[in-house]
Amino acid sequence: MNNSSSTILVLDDEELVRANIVAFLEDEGFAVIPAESGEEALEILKSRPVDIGIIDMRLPGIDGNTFILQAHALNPRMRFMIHTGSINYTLPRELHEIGVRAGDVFRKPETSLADMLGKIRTFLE
Amino acid sequence: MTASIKNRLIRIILQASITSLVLAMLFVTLFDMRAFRRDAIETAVLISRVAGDYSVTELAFNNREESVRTLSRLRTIPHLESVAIYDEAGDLFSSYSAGDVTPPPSRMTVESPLAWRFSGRSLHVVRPIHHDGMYYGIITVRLSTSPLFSKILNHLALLLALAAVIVIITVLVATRLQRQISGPILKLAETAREISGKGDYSIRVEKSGNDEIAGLCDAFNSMLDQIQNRQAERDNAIGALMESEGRFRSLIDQSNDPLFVLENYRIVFVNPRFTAYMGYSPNEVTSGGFNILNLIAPEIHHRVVNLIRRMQRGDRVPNQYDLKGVTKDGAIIDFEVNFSFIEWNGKPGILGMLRDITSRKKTEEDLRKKQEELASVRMYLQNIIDSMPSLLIGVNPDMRVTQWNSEATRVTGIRQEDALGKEVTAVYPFIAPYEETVRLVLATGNPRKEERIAVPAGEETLYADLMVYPLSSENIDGAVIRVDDVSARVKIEQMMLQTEKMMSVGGLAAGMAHEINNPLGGILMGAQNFRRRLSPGLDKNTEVAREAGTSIEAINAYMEKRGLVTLLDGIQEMGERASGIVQNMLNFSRRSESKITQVDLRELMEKTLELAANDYDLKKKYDFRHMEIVREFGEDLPPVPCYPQEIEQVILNLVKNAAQALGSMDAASRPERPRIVLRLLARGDTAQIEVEDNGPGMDEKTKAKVFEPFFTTKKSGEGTGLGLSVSCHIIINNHKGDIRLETAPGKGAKFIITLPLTRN
Repeated sequence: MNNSSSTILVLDDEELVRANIVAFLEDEGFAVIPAESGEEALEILKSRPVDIGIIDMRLPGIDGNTFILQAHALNPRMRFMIHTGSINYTLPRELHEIGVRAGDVFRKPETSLADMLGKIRTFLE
Repeated sequence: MTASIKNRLIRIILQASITSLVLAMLFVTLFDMRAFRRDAIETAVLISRVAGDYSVTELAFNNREESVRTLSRLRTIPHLESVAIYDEAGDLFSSYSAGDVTPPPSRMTVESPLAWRFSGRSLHVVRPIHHDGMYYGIITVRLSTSPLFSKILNHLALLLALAAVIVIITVLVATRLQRQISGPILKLAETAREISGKGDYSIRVEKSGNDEIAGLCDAFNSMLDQIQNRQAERDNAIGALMESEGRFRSLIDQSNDPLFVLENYRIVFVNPRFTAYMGYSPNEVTSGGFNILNLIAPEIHHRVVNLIRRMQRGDRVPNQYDLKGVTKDGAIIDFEVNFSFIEWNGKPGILGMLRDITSRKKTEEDLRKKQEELASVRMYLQNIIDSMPSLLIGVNPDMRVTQWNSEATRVTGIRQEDALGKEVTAVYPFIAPYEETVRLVLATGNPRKEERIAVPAGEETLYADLMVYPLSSENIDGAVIRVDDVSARVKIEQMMLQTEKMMSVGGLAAGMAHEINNPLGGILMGAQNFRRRLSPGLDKNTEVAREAGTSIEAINAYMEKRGLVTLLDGIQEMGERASGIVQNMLNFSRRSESKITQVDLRELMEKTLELAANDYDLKKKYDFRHMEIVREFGEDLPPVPCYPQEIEQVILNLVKNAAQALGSMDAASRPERPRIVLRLLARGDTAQIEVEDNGPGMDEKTKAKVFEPFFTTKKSGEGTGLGLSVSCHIIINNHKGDIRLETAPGKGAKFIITLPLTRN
């Protein structure tokens, strides 16, 4: 599989976390776009097609949920993985309705980046 | 009647007189005949002797003419028919015959001295003639008996004449007699006929004379008097009766009870209420074809038939019955029927009165039910009082026991019947220090409460709440003492307090988690990326190393030598441990928000084992790697509805306890292969989880307290003593399941949890 043909958006306000995911995915050969806030990420989506988004929930400005809903409105083919540090997080109904599943939720600290990679691969298949 | 009495009189008189007449004539005739015969015989004999004597000479001298002359002189003798004299030889010597009579025979023999006989209408006398002892011949004399017959005829004629006279006299006498005797009788009879014809009992018989007939008349008249009096009385009575019967009828008609009158067990009358009640019109029931059994429910027909049979036999029967009836519409009704015997239209009848008892029966039934209910309520209340875990003692104003429930019996060992009426402080010494409290309640009517009275009981302390409240009822004075063992509640409260503390820690942890998890994620991912970018397997690493004037192999060799790989592993490990600590702290806060889900217990067990394997405390002291973990998971176990985090917590706790127990054993007693067996099986409609170890086990005392809060065998500071009590709370209260322990010293311990497979 040619990973470079797929574009992944990493949206996280925690710089170290964002950088680590970006570094890992770049090493795997993906085209990776980092974003610090939902607003920034939406701007990016308007100019570039993105296949998958790895989205933190607690963000400055619009939160992860809102972003996903708006991103989905822009590009219904885009898939999302949720990466959250909140232990109380439950998948809201509206996200479920657009195809996000409980198995797409990753909790911080994610001790195995390989698990994340596995999910990305199933999305791309 | 007149003729018959007269005829009878005549007949009687005639019979009497003619019989005596005939008898008299018979005697006279017979007497005459005897006299006549005797006279005739005497005459003939005299003639024969006289004539014989006279004839001796003629015979002796054979002088026939003289003899004939002598004989002919006899002609003056009346009725002499013939005289004949025979000689010695028996030849006729001389004879005399009067008129044309049969001449005497010519020969005669003599057999006896004198013989006479009646022959035909004649008397024959034959006599030998003797003189001085000499036999001279025979003389025969024949006398006619015709005068005798004429005499008899005369008698008969006289008889008839007399009879005729008697008849005439008799008729005359009878007529007179009849006039004298039957006349008054006939008059009496006539009067009687008149009375009966007119029905007038005031008529009296006139009496004549002073004889028996007159007596009869007197008797008859006095009888008439009596009849007349009685008639008068009866007329009065009937008058009254008619009046009362009129009233009676109107009473019957107006009666509010259905009434009917039976004559010969047929209904002859019913009142309007009867029609209203039974649905039958008077015409319907009084018609000949109506059977009174139509009014009776078929199942009790035999009773009524029996009753009628007994009444017909004249047996004494009760006059009231509860019967089940059928109305014309076929409705079944209960009624009571009362009989009384009455005269109805001058004939004996039965007045029956129905009284509907459907409602009475229902009332009785209701009453019975109410009583039963009351009894059962009383029982129920007693049961409630007895079933209350509270000790309840009722006391009167004198502080004497009026109520003593079974808990009181259980606590004190004194039975209710022994406690009633005793001083409460005597039978329940516990109350003695609070006697004043009880008195205060009795005096003021305000309830009082003493909470958490500590009661030392052996090693432990029990807690009791005492409540004294006045009896609220108006007419009963007294108070109720209630004592509850609140030890368990107090302990639970203490436990709750502890849990709350931990919950607040958990809440804090939850709030902190996000903040901690982000940096932890950075650390852990950073460490992973760090290692990846040092790995020779990644083309980019080789490429970039070459660009930097070195090789990835050289860099790796450097890192090895400088111990950087180990340090990197340390970063990874420490990060993961921090993550684990946060996770553990979160368990408390997470529980509160979990939902019942269908859980595959096999997965849950694996996850729990993983958690246990990563448990810091376990790793530190009782390493799992030295223990054999045996999984005996039943294949047929369906998903179990539960709070997965809670069950996880419980099983983790049990596994940790097992591991700790195994780890705490000294080398000598430690089993060769320390083992923890985890079992999952389906048992009917429950799932069963077993956690078994082959550790040291527990003695009975420990076993009994193992689920109590704050009980621990661990060193101070190591265990909270809450693990198993929380587990117990989770399984029993939150999951409606059960947890129990099988253990003995040296035999290991086995905890068995059952969870229901269905939840309401």
